[in-house]
Amino acid sequence: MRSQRLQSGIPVALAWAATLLLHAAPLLRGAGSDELDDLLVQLKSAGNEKSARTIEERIRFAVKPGQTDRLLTALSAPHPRTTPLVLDLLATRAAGPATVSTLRKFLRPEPAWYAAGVLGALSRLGDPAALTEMTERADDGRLKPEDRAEYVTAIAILAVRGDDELRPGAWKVLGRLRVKEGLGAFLDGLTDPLEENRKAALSGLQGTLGTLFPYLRFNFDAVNYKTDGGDAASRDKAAESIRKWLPSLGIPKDVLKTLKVDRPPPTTQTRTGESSP
Amino acid sequence: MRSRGAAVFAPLSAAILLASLPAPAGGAASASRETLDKVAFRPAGIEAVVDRVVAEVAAQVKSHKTLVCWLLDSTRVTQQMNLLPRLAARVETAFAPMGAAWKDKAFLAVCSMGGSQKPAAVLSPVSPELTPALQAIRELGTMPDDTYKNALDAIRRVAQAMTTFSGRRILVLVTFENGDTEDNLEETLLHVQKCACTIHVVSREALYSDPFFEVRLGGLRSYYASYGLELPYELTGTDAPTPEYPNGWIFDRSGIHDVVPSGYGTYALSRLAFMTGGTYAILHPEDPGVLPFCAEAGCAICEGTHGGCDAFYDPARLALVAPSLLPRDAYRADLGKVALARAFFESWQIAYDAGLCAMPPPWEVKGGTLNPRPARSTRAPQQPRPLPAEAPEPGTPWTSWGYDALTHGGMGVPNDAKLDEIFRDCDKAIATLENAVRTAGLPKPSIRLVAAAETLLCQLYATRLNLGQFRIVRDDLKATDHPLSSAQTLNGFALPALAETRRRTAESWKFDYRNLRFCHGADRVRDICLLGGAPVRKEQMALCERVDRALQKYQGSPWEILIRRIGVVLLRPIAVPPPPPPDPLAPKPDKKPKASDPGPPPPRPPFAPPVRPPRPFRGSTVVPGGVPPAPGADPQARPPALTPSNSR
Repeated sequence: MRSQRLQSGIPVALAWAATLLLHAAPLLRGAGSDELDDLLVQLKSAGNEKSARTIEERIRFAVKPGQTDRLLTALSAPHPRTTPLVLDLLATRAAGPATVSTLRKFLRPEPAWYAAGVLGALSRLGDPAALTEMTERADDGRLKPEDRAEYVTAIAILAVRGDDELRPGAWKVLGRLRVKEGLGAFLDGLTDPLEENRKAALSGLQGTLGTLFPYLRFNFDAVNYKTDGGDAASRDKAAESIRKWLPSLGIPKDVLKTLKVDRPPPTTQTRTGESSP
Repeated sequence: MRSRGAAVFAPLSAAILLASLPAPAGGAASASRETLDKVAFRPAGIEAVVDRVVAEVAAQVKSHKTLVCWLLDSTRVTQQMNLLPRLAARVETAFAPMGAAWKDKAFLAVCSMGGSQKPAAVLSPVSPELTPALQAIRELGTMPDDTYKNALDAIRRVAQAMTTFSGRRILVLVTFENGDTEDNLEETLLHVQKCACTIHVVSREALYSDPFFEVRLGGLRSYYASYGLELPYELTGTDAPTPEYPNGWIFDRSGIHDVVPSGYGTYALSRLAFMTGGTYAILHPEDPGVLPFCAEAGCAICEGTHGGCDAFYDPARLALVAPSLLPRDAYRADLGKVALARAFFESWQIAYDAGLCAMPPPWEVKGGTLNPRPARSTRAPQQPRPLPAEAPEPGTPWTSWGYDALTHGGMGVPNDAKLDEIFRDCDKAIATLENAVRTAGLPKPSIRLVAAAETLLCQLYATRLNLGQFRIVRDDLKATDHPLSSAQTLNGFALPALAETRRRTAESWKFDYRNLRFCHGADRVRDICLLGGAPVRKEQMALCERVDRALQKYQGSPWEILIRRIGVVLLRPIAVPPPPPPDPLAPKPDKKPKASDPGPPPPRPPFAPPVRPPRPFRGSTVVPGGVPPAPGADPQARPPALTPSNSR
C-alpha cells in the first residue's frame, strides 16, 4: 500500500519539481526576453507608485549581468517609466567599454529625459565625454528648466550610484552647478561610506544652500554633523533631519528624495570580464 | 614702371586740411537697414577678405586700371594675431597675376594709419609691382603703435591722394583698435564719394550701444585735445547712429552691456562701406584670456564658473534687427515721429535724473520730437563702478568673502525721503515705458526699438526690486532681534546672516553687493530666496516671468544677451567702525608750510602720447537658430521667427 502510494506520488513530485525548475530557471540564469518584456509592459501600465516599485524590484532581481543585448533591445521603444530603469540596469550590469560604443548609437537629443538618461548611463559605464556633455547642458541657460533638471538628475545619480573612480568628478560638477535638483544627492552624499565623498557632498551642499538662501548662514555643527568623525548613525540622523526640515524653507520634497537604490547590484560577475551573450 | 599717380601720391604727408572739405550733405545720403546684412560679413580670416578683394579686382581689370590701396593699422593686437604677415602672404599669392595677366592693369599701394603724433603716411606708393607693397606690409607689422588714431582722417587723406590715380580705386581699411573713432562722418563720406573710392573695411564687431567712452572713460573727446593736438574726434563704436540703451545701473557690479556684441560693425565705417559700394568684414581678434561674462562680473549664482555666457546669434534674426545706416539727423527725425521712441528716451531721462543709470540719453524729448542735447555731459554713476574683481574660489560661501575682494561699495545709506523719491522715479519710468509699449501707435515701431524698450522694462523692474532689497537690508540694520524657535532654525542650523552684522556698532554702513545674473535663465533667479517675504517673492516671480518671456522672444539676438546681463542684487552691509578717540600723548603732526612759501613747483611730466587701453571682448558667433550647437542636435531646429507681428 505504502509502496503504491509512493509510486503514485513520484510523478506528482517530479511534476512539482519540474514546475519549480521552470519558474526558477530565469531567476538563476537571468530573465528570459519574454519575461523581461512582460515585466516592462507591466511597469508601463502600473497603476500606482507602489505597484511600479514592486515591478521594478522584480526586474532588478531578474536581470543578471550578461543580458546587455536584451536591455539594449528594450531601449528601442523609450518610455519615461521603463527607460530610466533599463538604463540604470545597463549602467550596473553591462560591460563598460564594450557597451559604450553601442549605447552611444542610442543617444538622441530629444526628449531631454531620454538624452540625460543615456548620457548618465554612458558616464557610469566609463565614457568620460558623457559627463562633459551633461554638464554643458545642465549649465545651458537656453534650455528649458525642466530639461536642465533632467541632466542635473543624471549627474546626481552618477554622484550617488556611480563607481568610486567616477563619483568625485560628478560631485565636483554638481557642487559647481548649485541647483536645487542636486540637494537630494548631496544629502545622500553626507552619509557616504567614503570620507572624500562626504567632504565633496558637504561642500556642494553648503554652496548650494548658500546660493539658494543668500541671507541665511548654515552651521552643520548645530546638527552634530562631521565628515571626518562620529559614527555613521549620527551622520544618517543629521542628514535625515536636514532632509525633513528643508521643505520648511520652500524646497520641494521631490528634489530632496534619496537617489540611493535599496538593492545593491548583483556582483556575481565582474563587469569588465563579462562576455556578451 | 611707376604710374603717373605715384609721384603725386608719395608726398602724402602734405596734410589735407579739414577746412578744405566741402560742407556735409546732410540727409542726402541714405541707407536702408534692410540691406545692411548684405554689406557685413564674417570672413574666416584676413585671407578670405583678400580673396574677396581679388575677386573684385579680377572683375574690374578687364575694363579698367584698378588700384588697391591698403590702409593698415598696426597695434600689439594685430602683432599678436600675426595679421600683417598673414595678409602679406595672401596678397603675394592672390595678386600673383599682377606679373602677367594683370600687368599694368592692377596696382597696389600701402599706407599706415599714422598715430597720435603723425597723420596717415604712405609706406609704399602706387606700383604695378608686388614686392614693394609686400615689404611695406611686413615692415609695418613689426612696428606696433598703440596710440589713438583717427580712422576717418586717415581715410580722407588717403582717398584724396588716390585721386591722382586714374582708374578704379579700392581702399581697404584694416583696423581693430581704432575702428570706433569718428570724425566728421558725413563730410568724410561726401569726400570719399567725390574721390570715387570704394571702401572695404576689416574691423571688429561693434558693441551694442557701446558705453565705453561715454561712461568708462568719461568721454575722450577732450582727452585728445588736452595735449594740444588738432585732431578732435568723437569716439563712439556703437553699431547704430546713436547709443540705444542706458548703461551703468545702480546696484550692478558691471556695466551690463559693456560686453554685448551687436552682431554688426561700427556705424561710421559701416556707413562708409555701404555708401561707397564696399563691404564690412567683421573680424575680431580671438583672445582666450578674456573671461566669460559670469567670471568677469562675479556672478553670485555660479561664482564665475559658468561657461555658457557667449553670444550665439541667429543670422535670420540679426538681419531683421540690423541697425540703421541713415545719417544721424535723418535717423533722429524719423525716430522722433515714433511714439514709443519718445517714451523710451523720456523713460531713460527719468532714470538718469533719478540716478538709476549713469549714461544720459543722447537726445531729449521736446514737443513731440527728439532734439540734440544742448550739452552732452556724462557723469559718474551714483556709486563708483566696481573694478573687475577676481571671482572668488568656487564654493566660497557668501558669508566669508574676504574684505580685500570688496573693491566697490561706498554707497551711503540715503535717508527715507531720498529713497522714496528714487522709488517714485523708478515707478514713473516704468509707467511711461509700459504704457507706450502697450499702445505703440503709428508709425509702427521697429523690432529693434520694441526689443530695446522691453529690455529696458526688464531692467527697470529689476532695479525696482534691487532698490526694495536695499531698503529692506537698511531697515533690518535698525531692527531688533527676533528670537527664532529651534524648529524654525533646526536647532541653530540656519541663522539669519544679517543678525550678526546688526549687533556691530558702526559709524556708518557700506554695502558690498553682488548680482544674481539672468545669464543662467530666469528659473535660477526664481529659486533664490530674497529678503522681504511674500510681497518681494511676488515681485521676484513677476520679474522672472517677464524675463523668461523676453528671453524666449529675443533668443538669438543681442537683446537676449542684454537681458541675460541684468542682475538682481544681493547686499551685504559692512560696518565702518567709528574712528578711535585721539590719543593726548601722541606727538602733534608737523605744521604745514605757509602759502607764501610754496617752494619750487613740481616738474611737469614729459609729454607722452596717450596709449589706448585695450578693449578685449568676446565676439558673437552666428549660427542658425542662435543657439550653441549641441552634440547630436538637429541643426534644422529653429526658434519661432521674430516678425513684426509677434514682436509686441
